[in-house]
Amino acid sequence: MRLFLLLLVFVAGRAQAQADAGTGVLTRPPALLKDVEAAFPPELVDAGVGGTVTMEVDVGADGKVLDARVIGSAGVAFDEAALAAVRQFEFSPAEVDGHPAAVRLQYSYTFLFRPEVVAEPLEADAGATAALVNFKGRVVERGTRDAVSGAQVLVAGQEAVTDEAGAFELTQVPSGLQKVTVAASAYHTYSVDESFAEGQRTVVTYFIRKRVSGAYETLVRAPKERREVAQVTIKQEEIHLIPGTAGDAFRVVQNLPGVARAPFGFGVLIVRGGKAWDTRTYVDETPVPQLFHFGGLFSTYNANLLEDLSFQAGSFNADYGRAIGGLVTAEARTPSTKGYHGYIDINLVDSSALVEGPLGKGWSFALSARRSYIDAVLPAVLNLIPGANDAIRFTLAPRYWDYQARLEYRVGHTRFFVSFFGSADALVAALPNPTIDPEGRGEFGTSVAYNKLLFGFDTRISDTLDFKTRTSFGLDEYGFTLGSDLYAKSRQFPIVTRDTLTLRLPFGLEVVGGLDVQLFPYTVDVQGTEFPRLNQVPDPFSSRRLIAEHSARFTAEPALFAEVLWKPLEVLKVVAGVRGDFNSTIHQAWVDPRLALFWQLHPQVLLKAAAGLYHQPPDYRSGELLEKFGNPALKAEGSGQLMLGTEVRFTDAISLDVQLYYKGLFDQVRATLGDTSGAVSSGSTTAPYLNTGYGRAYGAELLLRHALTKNFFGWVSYSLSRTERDLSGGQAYGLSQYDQPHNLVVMASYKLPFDFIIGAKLRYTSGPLNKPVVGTVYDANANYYFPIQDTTYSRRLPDFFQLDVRIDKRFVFRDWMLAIYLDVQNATYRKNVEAVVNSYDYSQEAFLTGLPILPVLGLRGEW
Amino acid sequence: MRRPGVLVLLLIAGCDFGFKPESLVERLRVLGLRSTPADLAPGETAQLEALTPDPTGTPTTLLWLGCEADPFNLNRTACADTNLLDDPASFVGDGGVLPTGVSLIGFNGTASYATSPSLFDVLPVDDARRQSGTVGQLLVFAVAEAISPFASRDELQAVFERVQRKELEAIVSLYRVHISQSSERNSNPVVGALTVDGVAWPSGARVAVKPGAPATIDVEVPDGDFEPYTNLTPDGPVAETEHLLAAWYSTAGRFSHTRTALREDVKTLLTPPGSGDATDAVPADRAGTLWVVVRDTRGGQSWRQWPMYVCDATLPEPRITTVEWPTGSRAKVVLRGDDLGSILDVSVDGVALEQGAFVASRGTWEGSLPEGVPLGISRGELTTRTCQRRPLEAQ
Repeated sequence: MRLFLLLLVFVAGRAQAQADAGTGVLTRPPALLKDVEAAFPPELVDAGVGGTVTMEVDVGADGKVLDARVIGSAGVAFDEAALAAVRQFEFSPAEVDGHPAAVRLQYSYTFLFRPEVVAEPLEADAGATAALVNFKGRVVERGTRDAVSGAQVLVAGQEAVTDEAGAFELTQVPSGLQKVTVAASAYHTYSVDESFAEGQRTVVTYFIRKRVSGAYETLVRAPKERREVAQVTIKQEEIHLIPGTAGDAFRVVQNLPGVARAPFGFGVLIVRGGKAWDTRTYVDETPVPQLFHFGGLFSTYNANLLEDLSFQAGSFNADYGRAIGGLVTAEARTPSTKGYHGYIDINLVDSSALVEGPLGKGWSFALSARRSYIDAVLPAVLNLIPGANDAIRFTLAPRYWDYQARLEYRVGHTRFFVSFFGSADALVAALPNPTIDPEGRGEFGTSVAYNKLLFGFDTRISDTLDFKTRTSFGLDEYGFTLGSDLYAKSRQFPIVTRDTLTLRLPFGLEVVGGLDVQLFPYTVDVQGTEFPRLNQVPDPFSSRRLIAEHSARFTAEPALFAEVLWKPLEVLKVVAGVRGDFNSTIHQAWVDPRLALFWQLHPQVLLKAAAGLYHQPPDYRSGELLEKFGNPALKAEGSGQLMLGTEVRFTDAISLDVQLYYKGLFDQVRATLGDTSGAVSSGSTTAPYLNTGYGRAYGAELLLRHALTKNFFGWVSYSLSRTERDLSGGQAYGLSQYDQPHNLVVMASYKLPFDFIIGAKLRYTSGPLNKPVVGTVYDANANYYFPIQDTTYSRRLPDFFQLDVRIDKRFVFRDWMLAIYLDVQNATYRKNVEAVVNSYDYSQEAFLTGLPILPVLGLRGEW
Repeated sequence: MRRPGVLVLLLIAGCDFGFKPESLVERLRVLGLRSTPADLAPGETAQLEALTPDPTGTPTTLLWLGCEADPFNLNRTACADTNLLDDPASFVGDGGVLPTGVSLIGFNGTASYATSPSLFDVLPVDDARRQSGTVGQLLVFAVAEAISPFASRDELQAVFERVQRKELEAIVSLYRVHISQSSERNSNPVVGALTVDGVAWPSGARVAVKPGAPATIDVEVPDGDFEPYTNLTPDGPVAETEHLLAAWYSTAGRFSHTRTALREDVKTLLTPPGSGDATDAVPADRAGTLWVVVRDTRGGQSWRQWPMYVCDATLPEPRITTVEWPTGSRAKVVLRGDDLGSILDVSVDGVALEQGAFVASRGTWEGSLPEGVPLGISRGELTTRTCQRRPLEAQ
């Protein structure tokens, strides 16, 4: 039960004689004879708010209240409650110049929250010390119910400090009404009057309010010895508040140096000019096969379960491989061990929920899930659009879901967890007017799903030796169908294990060794035609040229890595590593040496450099290694990387990271040209893919960052880059389609009073590249114009500019919080050019612009 | 990334970029190419036709080139080579020599494509590719200029250089003829009557449309045109039935769907000119042309065209006082009355009278019975320039 303390402040000294009393002197002030307690507005019981209502009260010559007005409001509800009470008051008549007279008074009511108080008898046999404790309780945070440790509880000249559990005890608090004050750093000071009775112990729980709820907080763990030269780490609290990302962890990476903006803002990561396949993403060291739902809406792993997210645009160490571009590694956090928490998030596209809490003895759990409702909404929307159902109908409207479950044990240096997570996207559509395909196919469908069961174990074997292992078992499924005869389906059962030993030796040496194994049993069912060659107008009648591949295969990708971290000098650190990989499908082994140097030139200035060799298998997802559709004789793609950089720490919060890089690309898989000589002598043709591609990328990257502090964080990210590739089957060499010379992101988020948080993100990039259409051929069978494009990306479309804004407002109640957020993408409604679209015969063209202003309003309840 | 690609296509499909519609024929176009027969066996020859309207009246020259078929069906011909197609002059021949496997196979309306009897000899006798077949590829250069069939190579070179510089309108078209030893031979579809709002339009009659008033249009095709066939998939033969895809074109007006799958749910609405769209005004002579090209999903295609008339509601309704039916084979149907100049067409037995016109000197409207319409029929239908359709009878 909650009680509310009503304070009446009678400002008799400020009573004024009314006009009809002339200008006489108040000779007898009115005395309150009938006091009516104001009711605490029930709708504000849980709101955690209080207030003082100051009123002007007209009292008649007979002592009755004639009128009352609010002159200092505490909100409508409090005002009305106070007025209703005051109007029932009765006073003894006031006297002016010795005669009863009407007067005007000022009253103030203060509404205060008072927690539940339990009085329990003191136990005689509780021991000498316990017998003296007559006041005890807990101090917890409003909204989250987290214990507040280190809070001071002051009463009657005594003081107690709360322990880890937020508990306190005081002895021999005098009987009677005593003022209790609770003070804690980052919290509003809380005061309340408590009654203490002889022979009884008062037991309370105080809910104190944080100065700013949702403030930026960082869980600081013991820092590891840094090994990575080019790593940027984003904390979970930052992820949530970056405008334009809808709180999505992996989209945050798209705002970092080295990452080009993907066309239409899709979720692919174009890192230092590399194709999407060049960059790998790991959660808890296990690869995630599909990063985003439907190509970019939201990531498939719940960002709220992440401890942090790290990104390396290149030059990563030997512990990771099979990638020649960037590396994204996310670490899931330990579920709450302090109390049960969770949230429900509802927005226009999907809803998600999370619940987590302790299970005792170091164990805790987390469960979360998300489900879109596009499939429920889209058919209704299509019904409202004239002609839309003539264009497309969904047998299975687009839908996605993902889930994460985690059980973790963590005590000291030992950590064990089981994580089960997955995702699924699917749609099947039917065209009521199947005329796009020259063979009349009118149905297409796509599906992607993955499921991972992951085990992790960390332990400190001794003071000098740490062990870490991650092992996952997966079921991944991909499907694409067009009509009944064109399809590509694959089912994979990846088994991934990474085991790492870290040995700390004297003389500044640290040795890391590990095993990184991926085993892929999988099935492939593909039926289609050969992929069209770049220099040929494709034959539209694919049903006459169908080929199929149905196979069950097994790919083993074992790898060993070793790294030595050596600090020969206090200011010099060397990280030397080597990695050996093998891929059973391409029958190739390779060794990649890598070296990183750190030189602390000045306490605030770090110089760094790196060099390394990188390899990755060809993109098996696109069929490059298939026997009938690709070339199983392909070898690994390679890259040599050099990096030179500096980090300057201006203050504890502000730092600057500048990097120069060069990335040489060799043995790149390249589509080949078709034979059009007309001299047909045999059925053999050039393989559709060969390892003859090459190119390079180089540039400079800058990150000026204001780290997470209490009120502000933000960064300025700028990339200056150039990427060149061989093009059109090797006919030309020029700018890669991913070349994006300028890429600037300015992002800031700031806490405002009253639990508002506002953020903005500005992005400017060079425009996308385009191969102009230089000619056309009318395909009279398929009834379309085939465009003949320039061999190089010789045209750059207009530059891109976008401003995203996000506003969060939190309402803190005693046991939970409600957040309302508005995430507005492209707030200036700029029409950014994403691509060129052409008329049917390419005689006319127009720019296809991206999303217009896109506000996303959401509600999120947390407890 | 296929899925985003699909989504982008869907998004683009819903956008209006202000392009001229594909269905609008304002200048030289290649709307269809056809071989007869539709499928060939090795050693057979196909006769080739092209539908190449040019409403501007500019003379059109067609130059036909054929490429030898690749028996392995691997698209290895110069006809599909984008590098050569981007430089049409190369097909004129370098030093008089055409690329390997390429030959001149026709000029203007006369063209044929012959296949080698030994085409599949490089394949084993039981090779499935003999049945699934390959394609013979051919190119048509349609140039909006009259070129002499006796033009020298230098003259042709000069023409194609002007084409390259975009000084001369030209279209390069690629067409493939299916060649196989399969006994299952495809045939070109037969395009029947045009239906307007579900009613068959008289054959030979101008299609009368009200300005800006949408009408559902369709074409009739025989049931047999939806041919069954066997698709030889890697998993074995699969029985299939052709789809027929109609592509609509006109010199004026707009279509709700430029392409329609026949006998499916979606129908095409023709909105005639005069709808208020500033880019689609009623032509001065109120005349136009309507085309449909019907393709089956195996390479067969056919087309038809109809003259179109945009009605004028301000004209007076014709009043017919006398209908004189012909009694002899050369006699005409003669109508007498008032405002007979408002008559657009008269049809008998679903066929429009030929050479029907108002003869001002006699104050009559006269037209001849088409061949095949027997004498003795004394009922018909009248279509007016105000878009009225009514029985042909004296008032």
